[in-house]
Amino acid sequence: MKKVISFIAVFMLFTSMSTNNFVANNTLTKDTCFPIARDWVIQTEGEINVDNVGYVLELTAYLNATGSC
Amino acid sequence: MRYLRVIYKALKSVFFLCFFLGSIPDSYAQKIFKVTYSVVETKIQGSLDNLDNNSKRLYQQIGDYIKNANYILIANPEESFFEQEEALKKESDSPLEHILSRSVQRFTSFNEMVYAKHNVDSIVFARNILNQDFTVKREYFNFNWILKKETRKILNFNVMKAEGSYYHPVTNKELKVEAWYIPSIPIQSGPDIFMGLPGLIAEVNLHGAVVRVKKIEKNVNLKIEKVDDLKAISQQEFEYLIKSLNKKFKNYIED
Repeated sequence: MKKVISFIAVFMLFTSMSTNNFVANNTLTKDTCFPIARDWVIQTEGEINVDNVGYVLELTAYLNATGSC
Repeated sequence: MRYLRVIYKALKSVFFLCFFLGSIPDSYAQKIFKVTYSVVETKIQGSLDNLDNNSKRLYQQIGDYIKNANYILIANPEESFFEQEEALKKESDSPLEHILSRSVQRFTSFNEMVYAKHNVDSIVFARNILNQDFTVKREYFNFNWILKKETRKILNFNVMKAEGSYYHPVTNKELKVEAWYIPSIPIQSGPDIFMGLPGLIAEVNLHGAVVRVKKIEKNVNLKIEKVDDLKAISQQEFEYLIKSLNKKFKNYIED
């Protein structure tokens, strides 16, 4: 039962990220640093996937905060 | 009567001998090793030329930071526990250090921790995906190790080469791995999920990094941390979860 709940929680989290609302309102993806972070991960790891998408957002936040783009 | 006394003495000797031997634990089994690994090389799948100057500078900073990134394996022949060194795990006040630490993790793609029971070939690992911690219990990864004759020296140990591959559920790919193990330390442990060779793994050459042993301490006064696997999901459940999320993710990207 717990694994089902865990799955649903993650699924909901992911679903919330994948809605247009998230994209429109989330400053992480709205700011110009998101493409830079995304390109960084694509160049270093080869692709964006569920394992590294959290890191993409963290890197975006860092680059935004430091005014890197 | 005399014969009985001789037999009694002989049996007594045998008993004490057995008791004495039994009370001596397997000297090797009691040896606990603390093995420190570090990242000696990072690999990028694309090209640095495709990155902007800020990203190139970040890559340079990661290269400098990585020199202090250690991973610790506590192991004996029966079990082992592997994780990132505590000093690196703690949240840093500096956003730069935090992002550098996270970046190092991305190159190795190591789990948060890995506990292995070598006598039953089972492992428990923890991984954070989309900000959720998952604990997975499964049998050893099947690397189909092929032992090679090539040898070299690492930390003055003679090491031998092995090549293998394993299925990575997140990328849905078969990833190759090259390992160098120490036959003179017959512990089938290694960094992260990499194990099952006839000797402690001294180096692994992975998809995103080369991780090499930095220090080996014998007979350390440490306990191997036990992991509560009651809440662990199975590998099949984990792979199903990953596949479902990947599918959703790809649909999102394509849309």
